[in-house]
Amino acid sequence: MDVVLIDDFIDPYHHLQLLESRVQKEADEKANEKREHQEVERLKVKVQKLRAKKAWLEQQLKQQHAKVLTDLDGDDNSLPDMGPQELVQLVAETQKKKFEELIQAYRLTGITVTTPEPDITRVCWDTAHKGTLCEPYYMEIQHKETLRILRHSLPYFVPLETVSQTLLNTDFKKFVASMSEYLAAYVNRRQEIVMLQEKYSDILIGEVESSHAADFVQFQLKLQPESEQIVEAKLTYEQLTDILPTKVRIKVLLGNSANASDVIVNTQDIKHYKECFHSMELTKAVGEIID
Amino acid sequence: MMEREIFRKILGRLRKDELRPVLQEWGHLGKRLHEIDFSHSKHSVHSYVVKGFMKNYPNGHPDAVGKLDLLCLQKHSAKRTWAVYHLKKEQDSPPNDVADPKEFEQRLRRELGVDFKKMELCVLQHEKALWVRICISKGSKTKPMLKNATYCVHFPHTPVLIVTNMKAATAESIKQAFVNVLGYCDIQDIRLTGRCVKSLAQLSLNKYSQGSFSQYRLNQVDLQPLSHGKKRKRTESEESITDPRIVFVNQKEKKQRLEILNDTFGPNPQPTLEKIEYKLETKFHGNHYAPGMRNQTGPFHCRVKFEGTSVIEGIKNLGKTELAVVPLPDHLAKVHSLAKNHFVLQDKSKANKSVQDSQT
Repeated sequence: MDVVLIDDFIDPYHHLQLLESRVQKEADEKANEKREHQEVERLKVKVQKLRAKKAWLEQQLKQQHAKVLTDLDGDDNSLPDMGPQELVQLVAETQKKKFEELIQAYRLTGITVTTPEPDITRVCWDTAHKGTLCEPYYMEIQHKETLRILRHSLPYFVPLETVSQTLLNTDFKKFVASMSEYLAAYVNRRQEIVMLQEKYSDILIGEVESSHAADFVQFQLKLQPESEQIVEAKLTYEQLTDILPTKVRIKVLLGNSANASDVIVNTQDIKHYKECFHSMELTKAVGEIID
Repeated sequence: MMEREIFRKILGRLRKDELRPVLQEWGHLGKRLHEIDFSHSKHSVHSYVVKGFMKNYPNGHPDAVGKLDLLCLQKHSAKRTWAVYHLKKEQDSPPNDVADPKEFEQRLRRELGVDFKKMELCVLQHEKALWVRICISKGSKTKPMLKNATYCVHFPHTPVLIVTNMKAATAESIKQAFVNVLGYCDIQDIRLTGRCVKSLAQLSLNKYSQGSFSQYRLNQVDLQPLSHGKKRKRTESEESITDPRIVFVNQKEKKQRLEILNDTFGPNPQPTLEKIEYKLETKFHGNHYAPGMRNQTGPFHCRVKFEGTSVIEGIKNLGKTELAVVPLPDHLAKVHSLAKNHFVLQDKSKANKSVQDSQT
């Protein structure tokens, strides 16, 4: 005879519930397993990818070192033979080279400020004319209680004493900008004279005479080879920050010598020449006159 | 006749090879310059020049003598002793400088004409400076004499005037004329003299960029930002002694000494000064060599003069050859930046007073 538990007989619903919960539990476990399995698979894939990336980066690093070495000493194959100390030195040299290039790039701004010694500031003005870099100018300033100019390589005609008395200890930025203006204007005037000499040497008679500050320029042009007419121009720049002349004197001479008597041929032409010099830079004005 | 003699005297200062370029620049011979055969003797060439000038200008030319004299001086300026003057400006006074030689001549003629009725004045531009010749006659009826000519060199936009042969009688008037023309209020002799105008100009105009800083002025330090490579540093050539039996035991000290001298004087040639004079007003410090001077209490007045073809270079060589202890004392090491060659050395207790004296 089977023993029938009164509890089981009496409560089939409870038994059903137990079975249901058991099935649910198994289903949940299966789902969890599946999820874990999926997670593991995903992580395996990720690990594989990361390993591949690591290998690629190591490869890149090897190639970069080889490239740096090629730059420094032209030897592509030196990396495998170099010890760790040598590698460190090479990296330091590469960093130094990068800093030097950064300083050069800083100089392209036109004004560079460095501190060669604790209480000395060095300002460097890099000049340029029409995209071509010209010479730099330097100044060393001591800063203790007040700012004091120790040394400088600015041209002697720049009114440094006058400007420094008013601006050096009151508005340093304006002082530096003011010096920059004088230097830029001087280099511009000077380079225009050089360009005039080079570009129009066939029509210039003799050399272009100018003061050191290039604020007075005098030259003679023979506009037509078959004609005896010579145009003598004297340009004066009143301020050392001027790029265009403030005073223009034109004479038209007859003969090969400047001692020949003045002959005014055409006042309209002279007026036009003066307008050109007043409104354009030197070489452009001469080009306009020839045309 | 007098003019012929003056021309001969001026032309006699030039060498044979200098005659043609100077006469070309002078421009008063015109086409007759090409007719002169410069292979003849100097005396013959001078005669041709004078004849050619007389034919072009039978009644003479007022500026011809002055211009020729000035052109000859520019070729041989080292034959004279020049002195440097410093023009002083009032604070906030507007600039009145002029770079046009003709305008400068006109202004100067107007100023000098107030004091002198008869004079010759010539202004020429040479090596970016204005060279001036002023020749004043003693009386209103006599012509100015060649030996009375005063020569000045002025760099526009600077307070520097370099002068030679200024006579005592006319010195004050000439100095005042320059002060008025250039818009300054006073002029002072800065006690800098020499024969090389270029060096005197460099010492007085570039006094803040001498010594090792001259490398920056001459653009010997940094390359342009966009160029590659390094600037080759100027290395002084060392003595090359190849005898293996010679061993140098003090190479380290020699290198140190050369480094200190390089920092002080820089690697570039020094400006030429023929004389540096020190007037000592210090106590006597040589009691070890002269025990009899031990009891001397007052200052020992003494004058020390360095003379030579280039004294600053010589002072640098004193350090190089170990004849002077390096680093050199300030009164020797900083000579290139002081813009003077006559110094008064006093004891420290009187140092402030001597600074005031040198500034006034």
